[in-house]
Amino acid sequence: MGTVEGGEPMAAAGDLAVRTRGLRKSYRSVKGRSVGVEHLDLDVPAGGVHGFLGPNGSGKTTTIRMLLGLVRADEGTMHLFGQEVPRHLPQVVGRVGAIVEHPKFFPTFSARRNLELLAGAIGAPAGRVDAVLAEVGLEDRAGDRYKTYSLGMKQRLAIGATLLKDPDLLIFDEPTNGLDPAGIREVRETMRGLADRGRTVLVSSHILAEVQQVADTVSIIARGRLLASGSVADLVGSGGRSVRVGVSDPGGDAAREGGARDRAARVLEAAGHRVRPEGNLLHVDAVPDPSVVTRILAAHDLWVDELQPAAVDLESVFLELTADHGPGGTSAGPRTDVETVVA
Amino acid sequence: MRLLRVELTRFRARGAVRWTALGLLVVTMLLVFVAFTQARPMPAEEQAQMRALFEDQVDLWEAEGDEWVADCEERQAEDPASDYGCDQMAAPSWEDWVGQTPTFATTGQEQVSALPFAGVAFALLVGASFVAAEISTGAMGLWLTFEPRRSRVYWSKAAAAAIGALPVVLATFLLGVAGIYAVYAAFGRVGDTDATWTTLAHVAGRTLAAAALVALAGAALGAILRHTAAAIGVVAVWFLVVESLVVPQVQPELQRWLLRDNLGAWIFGGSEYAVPVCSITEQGQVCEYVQREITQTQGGLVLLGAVAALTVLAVVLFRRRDVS
Repeated sequence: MGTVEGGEPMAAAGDLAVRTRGLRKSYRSVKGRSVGVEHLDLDVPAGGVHGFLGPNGSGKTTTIRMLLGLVRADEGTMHLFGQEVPRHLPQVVGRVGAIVEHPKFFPTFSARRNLELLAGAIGAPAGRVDAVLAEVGLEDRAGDRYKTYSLGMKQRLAIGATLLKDPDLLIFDEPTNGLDPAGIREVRETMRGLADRGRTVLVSSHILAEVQQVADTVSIIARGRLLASGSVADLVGSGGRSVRVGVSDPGGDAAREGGARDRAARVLEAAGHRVRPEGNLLHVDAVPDPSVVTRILAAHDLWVDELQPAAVDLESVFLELTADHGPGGTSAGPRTDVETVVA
Repeated sequence: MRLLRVELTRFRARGAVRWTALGLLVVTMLLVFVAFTQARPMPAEEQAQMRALFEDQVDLWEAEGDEWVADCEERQAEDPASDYGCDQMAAPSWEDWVGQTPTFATTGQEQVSALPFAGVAFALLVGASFVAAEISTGAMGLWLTFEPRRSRVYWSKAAAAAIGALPVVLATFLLGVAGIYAVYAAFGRVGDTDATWTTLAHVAGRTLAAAALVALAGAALGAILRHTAAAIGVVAVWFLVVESLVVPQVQPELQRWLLRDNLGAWIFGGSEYAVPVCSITEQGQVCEYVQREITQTQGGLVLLGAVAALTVLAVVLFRRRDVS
């Protein structure tokens, strides 16, 4: 079962790889104080791939950094496998591998040498490096210098570094940023493979289609708050059906069709539907029955020329959920909706 | 120990460390070259010119010397409160004219005294860059996901910088001493070195201790300022502006606490600084510079105290700050 904003957590604490309650982080700047994460309650079930979705600046990376002890939370609690962090992070960090943004390796060292250094720091067994290189498919290029690697290979090496600890939880922050389609596919398959071998993968992304292909469960945040969480199937199912509608005036004047479309949008919105333009058509979300749309429009002397049922995907659920959260909810780039307190 | 071993490997692999070590080697070679220019005997042609000038001066003294002394004594009699130095007027000697013959035991040892400062500067640079570069590039974030105990991470990095710098400092010091000695030996100007080697051995030992402490200070500055350039800038401003200009001019008595002088005192067994002491006489205010001493013990303690203060601040900040 999924939950939406204000709902109950989706799993008991004992089954969770990650659990946060009331997590808050704000940043000071010369312009005042901006809130990165606002009382976030996040549950990541153990096992499978969990997508952590949100627009740029919604607080995903900050949340991950707090979980890893890189950033201090202002308020709230965090648990990894039931252990409170950051207080008990040293005890649980051996079960967690993470990539936060683009990890830095020694450019003149080979992949093997880079991993050997990290393995030496955590006391991993000698054979672990070769096993990891094989797991991420870099055994043939293990002796090459890191600086000769493609972006996709660098990202696979980063994933390999997280596997040195043989972790139960892998946290990937925007792992496909900057990758070409082949690289994205490689990373996606690697994540899926890790989850299929019993690990928990928490992957943050703002590319919804990509996550939908690999994730079992997702959490959607905007402006630092959790909007919804649950299995992908449940969330997509909860969005109802959506339809694309083309409308015209009874007089059939083509020049007036644009005006008819705008009028139809107003009529449907007045009836409580969420409508967005899509070319010459209107996209109407969360429609329980398409005939409702035709009845509403006919009642206002608007004729339906075209009615296409549209498959609901994570993107439409996401857009629907974040539509009420202002410019920072869905738009990329600098946030304009952060709480600002002038000191 | 495991972390320290890994950090030492990373330290050795850093390009910045290698380039800075190369820079130190170049500075060392320049000092050897300077020693060469001072140790080599004067060319015969130059020596002949100087001899001719000297003989002109001797002739002049023989012709006019008595008269100059008489004039001087006359002025002295008119102004007994002043010292005209008439009793020091004498015929020019060749030794005074060409100066003392430089030897390794005298001039060479002075030239060697620049090597410890170069080594200490190297330790500061590599200490600062080793920590600051990891923070500014974001590599620290990856490292902390493997070892979240920040105190351990800090100390392993600082210790690696301190230990890793020592072989380079020692090697260049020995190379510099050997080079300068070879230059003087080649011209047969070694001199009496009975006490020289013992002194240099002590200087080498104290230079290594100072380099280790300064590398720790550099690591602390790197952690506090998070950018190598910022750390170097702060150090440059401190030494060039505060220690070289402001304190000697505004509060000369505070020179007692300057890091430069205390570092010198620690390495060379003591140092001196001058303060003006002024008094009112019939001629008005008269100031003379009085030499004050900084002991080796004080030098070591001041150095230790400064490094400890910086390190405490760095550890506190490193533990508390968010890592981007």
